[in-house]
Amino acid sequence: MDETDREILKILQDDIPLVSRPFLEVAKKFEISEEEVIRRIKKMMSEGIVRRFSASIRHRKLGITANPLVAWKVPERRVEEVGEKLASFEEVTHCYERAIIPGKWEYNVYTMIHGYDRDDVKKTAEKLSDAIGIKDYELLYSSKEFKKTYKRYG
Amino acid sequence: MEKLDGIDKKILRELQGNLPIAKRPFLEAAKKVGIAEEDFFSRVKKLIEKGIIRKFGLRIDSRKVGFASTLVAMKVAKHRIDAVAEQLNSYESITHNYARDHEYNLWFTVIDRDEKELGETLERIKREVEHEEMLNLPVLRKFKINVKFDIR
Repeated sequence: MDETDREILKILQDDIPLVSRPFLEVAKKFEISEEEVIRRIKKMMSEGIVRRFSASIRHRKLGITANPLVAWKVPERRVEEVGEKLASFEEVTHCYERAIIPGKWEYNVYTMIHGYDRDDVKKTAEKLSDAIGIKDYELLYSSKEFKKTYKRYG
Repeated sequence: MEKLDGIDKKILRELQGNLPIAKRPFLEAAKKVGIAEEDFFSRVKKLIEKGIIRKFGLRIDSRKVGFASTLVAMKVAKHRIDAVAEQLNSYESITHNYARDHEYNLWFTVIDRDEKELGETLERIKREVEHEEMLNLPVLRKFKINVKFDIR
């Protein structure tokens, strides 16, 4: 990544210009060609620096109000397999292994699932539980969103 | 709850996916939705104004650009939850903060420029925010991040 890559990310992380050729606008700003902007973004994508080019949605406004974090207690030797399996479900948007605090908090795999009501997500959680054969899990429903922003790059 | 028509819903479904990095990246999405590019732009602008689209651009992998982050579960007295949440919100490093129905009733993510900064922020929180317990739960392995909702 060089300075130009970083500048491109800084501009395009928030709002893409809503015009037919958005990368041309960015190109003009840096006095490089549209092709070069595209090439640079594609390269950052292949390196995993850019994950996607997409919109993020305030799903609560659309009625998707049941958004539990599900914490699973998975035996260490099964974490890889279970993590991959959980990740394969469309309903799962995030899936991570996290550190445990022995004796105090031993849930080690976390998934976010989303639904229109609690019945909806309860069923999803049961389906996931059956698929991985793990009964020890907690549905941590969010009752209030106090903050949701993101860390800006740059 | 916002009422959207079928076209807006189709647009949101398209925009949650991965758009092409191409000269005219919106052309295909507009075509799939069945509207002209111009109408596509005006509808997307409205969805942004209504606050349904939070942001629309390149999603960056924060770890790949060096950021360090963690999830913290905190146990606070029930009657103090709003006050504590407000105090936590004032930390710039805290990006997500939720009350959850559990003994650990506040869950928030902390993200900083690097591990050292993150450690310092966690120390500050521990010192400055009155709480009963605090669990630091950093990611060990990432299996998936792909935020895509079933828009009905």
